Amino acid sequence: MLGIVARVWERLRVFVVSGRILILAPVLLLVTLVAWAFASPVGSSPDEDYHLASIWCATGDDAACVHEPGDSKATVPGALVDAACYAFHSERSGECQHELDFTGSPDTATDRGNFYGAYPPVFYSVLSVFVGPDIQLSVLLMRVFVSFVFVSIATALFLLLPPPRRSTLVWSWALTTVPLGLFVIASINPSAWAVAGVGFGWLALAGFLETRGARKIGLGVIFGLSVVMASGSRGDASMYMVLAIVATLILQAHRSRRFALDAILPAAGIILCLLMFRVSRPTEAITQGVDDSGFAFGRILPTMLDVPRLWMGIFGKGWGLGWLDTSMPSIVWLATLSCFLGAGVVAGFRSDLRKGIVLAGGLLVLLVFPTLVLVAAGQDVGDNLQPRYLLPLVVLFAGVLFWQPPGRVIRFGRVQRGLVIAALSVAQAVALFLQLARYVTGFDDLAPWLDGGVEWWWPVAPSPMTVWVLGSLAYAALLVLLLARPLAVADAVEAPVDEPVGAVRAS
Amino acid sequence: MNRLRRVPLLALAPVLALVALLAWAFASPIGAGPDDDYHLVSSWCAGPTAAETCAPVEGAERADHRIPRALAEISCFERQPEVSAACQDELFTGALMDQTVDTDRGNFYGEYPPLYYAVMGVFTSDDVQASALVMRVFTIVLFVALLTALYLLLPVERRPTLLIGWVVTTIPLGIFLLASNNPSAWATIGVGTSWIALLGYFESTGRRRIALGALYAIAMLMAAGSRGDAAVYAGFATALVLFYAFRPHRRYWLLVLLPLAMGIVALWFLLQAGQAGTATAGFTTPAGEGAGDGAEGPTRLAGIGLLAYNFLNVPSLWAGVLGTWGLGWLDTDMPSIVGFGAIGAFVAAGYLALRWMQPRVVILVGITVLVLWALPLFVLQQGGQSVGEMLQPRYLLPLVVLLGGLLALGAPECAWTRPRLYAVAASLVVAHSVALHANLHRYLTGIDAGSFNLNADIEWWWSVPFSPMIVWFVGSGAYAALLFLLAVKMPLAAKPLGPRSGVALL
Repeated sequence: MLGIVARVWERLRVFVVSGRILILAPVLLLVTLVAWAFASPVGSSPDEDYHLASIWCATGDDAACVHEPGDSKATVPGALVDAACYAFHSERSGECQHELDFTGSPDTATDRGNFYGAYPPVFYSVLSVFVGPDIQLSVLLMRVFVSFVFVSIATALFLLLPPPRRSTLVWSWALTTVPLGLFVIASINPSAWAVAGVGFGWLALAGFLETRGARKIGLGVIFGLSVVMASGSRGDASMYMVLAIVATLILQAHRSRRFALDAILPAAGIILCLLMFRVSRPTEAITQGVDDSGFAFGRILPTMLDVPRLWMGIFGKGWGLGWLDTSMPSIVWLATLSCFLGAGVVAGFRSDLRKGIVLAGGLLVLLVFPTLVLVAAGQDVGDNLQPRYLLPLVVLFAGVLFWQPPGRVIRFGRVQRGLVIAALSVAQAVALFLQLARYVTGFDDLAPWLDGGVEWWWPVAPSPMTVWVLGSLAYAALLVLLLARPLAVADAVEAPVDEPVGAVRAS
Repeated sequence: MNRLRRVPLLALAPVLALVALLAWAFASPIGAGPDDDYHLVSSWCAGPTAAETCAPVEGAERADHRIPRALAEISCFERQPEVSAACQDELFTGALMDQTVDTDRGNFYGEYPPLYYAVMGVFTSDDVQASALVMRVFTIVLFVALLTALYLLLPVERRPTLLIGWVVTTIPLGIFLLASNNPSAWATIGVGTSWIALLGYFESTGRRRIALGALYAIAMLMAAGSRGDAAVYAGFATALVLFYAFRPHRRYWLLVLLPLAMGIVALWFLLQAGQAGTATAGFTTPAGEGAGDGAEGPTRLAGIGLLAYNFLNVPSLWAGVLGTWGLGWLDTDMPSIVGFGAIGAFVAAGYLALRWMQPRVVILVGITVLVLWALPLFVLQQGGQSVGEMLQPRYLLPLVVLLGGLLALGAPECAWTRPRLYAVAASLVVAHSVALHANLHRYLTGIDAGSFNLNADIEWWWSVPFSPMIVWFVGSGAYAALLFLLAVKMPLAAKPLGPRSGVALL
């Protein structure tokens, strides 16, 4: 008996020490995202009534949506239009959905949908595959599918990328996705693919440019897929993707025939993005119309100085989740922002000239782009431009921060890693809890036990508390797996170049 | 020789700090600090003109002191960010006692320790603006002198700790308060310098030790003599250092006598202030409702719900120190680049420090964070209030400065490199400059008017021969030069440091 226990223990030890335990990471990520997918009712993401109608009408099936081409209105099931009955009222739970018929046929006219081509069609078309007679089931399937696609690409990238690039992938995503990122990625909002496409695409391209053989082909395919996802979901994401490609080329370009040949792929990506940008009208989508008052130059500086509010909104400050109504407590945003800034500063200084240029350019874009959009629209920070529109750029920026130029390894001490893991885990758990509570009971009836006094929940699903515990534990375990120690052997052996002696000794 | 050559350049640092702080002193009108009407009245009532300007009202039960209207209504712009300080103009026409009001809004019942007001009372006169400005300048000079003396007296490896700790915690709220008429200035200075003076006292010898002991005593008096909560903080900081410096040696026990004595003095001040009955004293100032960043909270919570809400939102108070809450009467909102830059600088410093952490430092930092969390939680819970009400970030500022210093205890050896120092300095320089501009703007025209050019359309300004734009420009430039100088000259570990010798190398 003891012998069996010892053998099992030894196998377990080898499983952990050899790093094969990483095989659990995709499962844990999927569990986390699915927990977020279950955490909110149909209609919970911003403007989801619009996106629901767009998806249903992308089926071309009159049983789902009646729409004449060129018509500014369509007829869809009433539940799609009214699903977000709780929007902007965080005290109102998802209970108001009980009056909706989620199996109804098209009976309500709406003009909120992608009827003018404001959004590119790919995202809606793909998700329309899951449209069925039960709207709740369909939406859940779509969310799980979107989550699954994210996990699949992340896993494939992790496996195909050269080892030193894996930590770039992991750190840049970990530090930018709590709480807004996780919510968006597991939603049926096109922002999900905008973020995933840009955040994965540039790294796939970087890997494509520095590998050979089957790996190269695999990474090229992921890059192509990412370009389609980004440019096919939101018009602005096309532009972000172009920026991501340019950034990658600056990091990787060199004079050689091989590079010239390789560059055909990113060039094709850029052309596709530009074409997709042409067919959508992103500025209107962002600002809901440009003010006629003209471009006020006097507004540029005050607006620019306030743009960091949008950056901080990504970490949960000032802007809530959902219809911006699920505000996050300061522990969430201060923890996540601190992790990003703290680790980001350490990583950002492992730079060479190219990385420095890209980072400086990235900062400039993050500052100037929202400023110009807002000033052109005659709006202030806090009006229509939301942090989620910048999320793809922030994930990209974080990626470049964690880019390891030749000979420069980004290293973290044990305490530094531990603090990031702890802070992000706690922030994610708090965010997921509040996200659930906001819809299960509404913020007016907040209670520590989610399963008591449930006002809304899915017809068939594990209980809210179970979802919270699973999601929180899975995410914490995922972070421990991925961040607790250097991922690549190369990370561990190479000494830092420009740290003072004391630091080397202390690490 | 090399070291001698450095002296003149670094000697500029106190001058630059002085100029930057003076810019802040001029950047807001008298009465701009939170509850400054209360504090100014208290100072005047402790000064040489008190018999005239603060006469008791016979037979009155509540409003029992007759004071100049100019003092009582000096904060006429409070909590109305669109109202400029021009509303003060009519207060300063005519003689001070021409118009009086009866009030009980002042330190008449011993809510605050008397020392700060007694010292500031010395500067009171018939000219409110001139007197209050002199008070600001006095506090600024005291602060710069204390820091300069500490820099010169501390062991070399403690100097980065001193500088980094203060630099990363004082933009924007700290610098605003340091140049204000608010006792929080002394509370912050006292707590933020006493602990490191005491540490230096333990780690040096001879005359240096005596001088550091004296600085420690002064700092303790400033803390305990200004606010009740600061007396507690200073005692807490002293206890932390006693733990950190502990060696099982007879000399240690001899040295402990000074902090022990000062601890008793602090306790005496606390008891004198009549605030010992409740640990919440010092927090419950007559301040109005504070509406800060975290204030979008619940309508009315109680019990466990309130506890949970406050527990999750206490960090908003920490961030408030770094610019996510307004300055002044919480009515001067900072553009978000201020908070972002200041939080970035603090976090960068703290995160770098994590790579070098002695177990004892980990304990000190852990305890301080715990106190920073538990104390506001306890106070709010006692009062049945949620984060955003009553308790303001400035009450925690002394502890945040202490935390910044503790995190920087490993500064010479931790992963600070020049580029990192420059990056932190750059982000603070931007944050500071924007904060100073926003602060000036709010009082010159109110936020409903005005533009980048602070000299245009101003509604209020001092009778001085320099313009607001000059103040902004000189203040920003001095601060930028100061941080650049410190970043260039900061002693870093170019080679492995030996054991702490306790002997200063200057």
